Amino acid sequence: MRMNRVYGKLGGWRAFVLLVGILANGLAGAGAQAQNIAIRGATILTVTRGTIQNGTVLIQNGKITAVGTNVNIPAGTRIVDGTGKYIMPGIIDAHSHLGMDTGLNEGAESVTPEVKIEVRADALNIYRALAGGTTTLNVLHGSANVVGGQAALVKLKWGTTPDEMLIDDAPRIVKFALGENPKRSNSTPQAGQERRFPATRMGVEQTLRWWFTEAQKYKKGWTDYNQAVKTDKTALMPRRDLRLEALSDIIDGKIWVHAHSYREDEIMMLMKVAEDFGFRIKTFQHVLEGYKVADEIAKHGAGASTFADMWAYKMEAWDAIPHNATLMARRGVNVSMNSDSDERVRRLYQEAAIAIKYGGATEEEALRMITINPAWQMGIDQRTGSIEVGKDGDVAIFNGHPFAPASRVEMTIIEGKVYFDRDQAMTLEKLLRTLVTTTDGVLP
Amino acid sequence: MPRTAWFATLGAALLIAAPIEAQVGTAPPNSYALTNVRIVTAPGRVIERGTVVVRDGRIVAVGAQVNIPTDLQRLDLTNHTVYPGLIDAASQLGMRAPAADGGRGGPPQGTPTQFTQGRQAQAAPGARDVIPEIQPTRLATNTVQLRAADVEAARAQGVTMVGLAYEPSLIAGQTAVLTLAGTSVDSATLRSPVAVQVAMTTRRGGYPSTQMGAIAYLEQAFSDAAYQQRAADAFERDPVRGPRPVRDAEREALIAASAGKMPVWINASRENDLYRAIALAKRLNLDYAILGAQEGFLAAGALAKEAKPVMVSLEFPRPDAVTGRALELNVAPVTGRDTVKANADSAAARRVRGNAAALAKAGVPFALTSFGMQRPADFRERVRNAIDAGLSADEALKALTTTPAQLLGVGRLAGTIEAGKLANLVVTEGDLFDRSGRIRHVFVEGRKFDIREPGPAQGRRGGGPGQ
Repeated sequence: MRMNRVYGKLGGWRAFVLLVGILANGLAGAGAQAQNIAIRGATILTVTRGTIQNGTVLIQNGKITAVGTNVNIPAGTRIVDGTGKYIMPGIIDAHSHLGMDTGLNEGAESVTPEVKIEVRADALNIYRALAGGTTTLNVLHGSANVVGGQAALVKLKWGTTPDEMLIDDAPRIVKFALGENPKRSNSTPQAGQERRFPATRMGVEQTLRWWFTEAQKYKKGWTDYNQAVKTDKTALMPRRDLRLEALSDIIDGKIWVHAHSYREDEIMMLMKVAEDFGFRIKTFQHVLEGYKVADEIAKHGAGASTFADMWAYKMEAWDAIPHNATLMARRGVNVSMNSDSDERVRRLYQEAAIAIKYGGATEEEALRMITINPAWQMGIDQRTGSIEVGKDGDVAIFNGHPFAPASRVEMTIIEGKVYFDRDQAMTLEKLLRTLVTTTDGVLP
Repeated sequence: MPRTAWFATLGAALLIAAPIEAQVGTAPPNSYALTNVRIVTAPGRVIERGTVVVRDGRIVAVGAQVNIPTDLQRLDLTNHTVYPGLIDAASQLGMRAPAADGGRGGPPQGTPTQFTQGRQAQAAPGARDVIPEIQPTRLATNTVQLRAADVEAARAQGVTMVGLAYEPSLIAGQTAVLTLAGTSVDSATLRSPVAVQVAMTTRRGGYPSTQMGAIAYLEQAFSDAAYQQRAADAFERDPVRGPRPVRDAEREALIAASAGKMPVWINASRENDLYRAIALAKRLNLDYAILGAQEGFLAAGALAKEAKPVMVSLEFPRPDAVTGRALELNVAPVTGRDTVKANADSAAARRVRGNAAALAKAGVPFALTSFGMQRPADFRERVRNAIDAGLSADEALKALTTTPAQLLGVGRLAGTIEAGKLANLVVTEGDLFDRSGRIRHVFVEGRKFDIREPGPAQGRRGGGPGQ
């Protein structure tokens, strides 16, 4: 009742702004301090080094410095009692659009790899994601374009700044999209806008081939210049074209491709196009028919980031099966389970468990799908995605096994800082009470 | 008090604004001796009683002991204070003309370039359309429409000089500095062009359609300008071998800015936009100034680190629309239904009004501007709101004189009362930013304008947020 009253009275956006502010306020005490922290007496799901019973994880200066049953905890370290609890690596989501506020799609043209995703550090959904143990996101451009913009790889350091959230040594990733979304057969052009090319699957392939041919010419122009300038200092430097430059970087493997895809035919098409131009697809996103071409994906060297059991929400998703993730994994594909949603991002651990239920994945296989595998797909597996000495102190603490239906996240830590602590989180009731009084105070 | 002075004060009070003018012989135009006046020569620097000598629109002498030439009209300004004329670094005076002649800001000048590639680049030559959002060749001096009433209204606020700014637009055009003596744009123009104004905004019906696209677009546009210069230089050096560059007025209009030789004004008001504008300017190595910065207090640290001037809009945002994180809900819990009053007095309202104070505290150089304000008549009251929220009067004066003068590249001509500078002056009874203070005269390049501000203090506290 009360909630209805609040939301009915406020515009949704305004309620959102207020909630963010209130939560940021509530969080400030919990998350701001960098500290050395030790979680003691817990079950540690390291993912890459098996499970440790009654173990301790020590995080110092943002890095994991000790993991095991016999860990020396220096004085001055904050100690968290992990008795009866489970620690797993901070969950990584290889497909998200969270915190984007400069647009989801630069959809005015079909090929826009020069565009870079901007994120904000104050989005309320970041907090929700933290409450689900998620620490790291691959924030991708939308799927309206055959070649979209460049992703932002972020840690969910809520309430800091966009710059602080960005993972500075992460590789550059660009979003591709195949099938219904980029050809836009179901969308109506905006007033005053022509229907955009391509309009068919054939056109999607042609768009890729035309642009990468242009990029090859562009690359040659620069190669020729770099050669000429060695002997002739006055040679005219070519015009920089940020779009063709980004496409050249894709050919050179300096920008990795994450490709939105559904059907086996378009998956095969894209691998062929990439191989023709001399590069590889890093990861197929969605890839709901991946189980049909798992061997080919593995041979190409691509990963696959899929949904647990989303099915038939559009024609090209018709042949999806919940066994997809495990089937691909068993054929040697690096598989992750993603959210593509500000809501599912709160419960990716349950999504991973679906792979056990349907595909018969092992516990470790399922854990990998939301930790070290997406980290590999994002090129950050050297620093996060498992509980190992030397890696970033990114962990989620659960009150039970993460795959048990009733388990929930108690605490989420990024680089040794506590960004979510259920003990300190405001209860919904308290939140609403604050919201009501605040609202009365602010709105004219 | 000498009898003459007594009568002068009495007369001034009765006639609202008419100090004794002692005319000797045939006085030259735009030349005065302001005598017995308290002089604020610069923010924080005061001569308690002295003379300012103005000849042919310039200040020729200032001081406590100054020989007063006999041929000048002498103004006895006992009990008055003279300040440097205020400078509104980003004014939209005459820049928001009605759409009668084809859109805001008048007809576009020149033909904009398509900086984009892709579909547009494949279009046939000559198929360029005019893109209203992209007008690098547009000059403010061609766009502005000076109406006497608007100029008078600005002057009545003590404003003697303005930097002209456009409504935010991807590449809005080139700005100019005008003095406010009359309505002839040619005589009013002091400097043009001063800067290129850009914004991370979109274009209707084409690329860029998002802010992230706009950022990429601007990077390409400035990069193209640099290339245009390189190509022209190469051709100049060796016209026999080199390819003949194709003229492109729009790229050429951005060459100086792309080389860091002309400032770029970047519209950005919200916290995240401020971060993005700074990052963009740094990637492009621009000499830049942020325009707007309504949420500057949320990004004060980042702005201070850059130490670039900020043109702060005195249009306060609604407290409840301020970017969520930093709102940190300093909104005092309020009971009762008088929400408008509560809003205006709440900590949150104080915070948006305290924007300038926060920037001053963080050490960010800034100018106070009317950019975005709908009612220029509120200008001085908004400055007072900023002062009420913690800005010192000296800092406010600095933000309206020396800082904008530097920012607009007219530091040698304006901003202080010094010999050699333009005779842009504001004469008040009481303090300029005090609610009981009244502006009596404004001088613009030596031309004297009498201001008729109502005598009793205004009861209104200005059109701030929530009002």
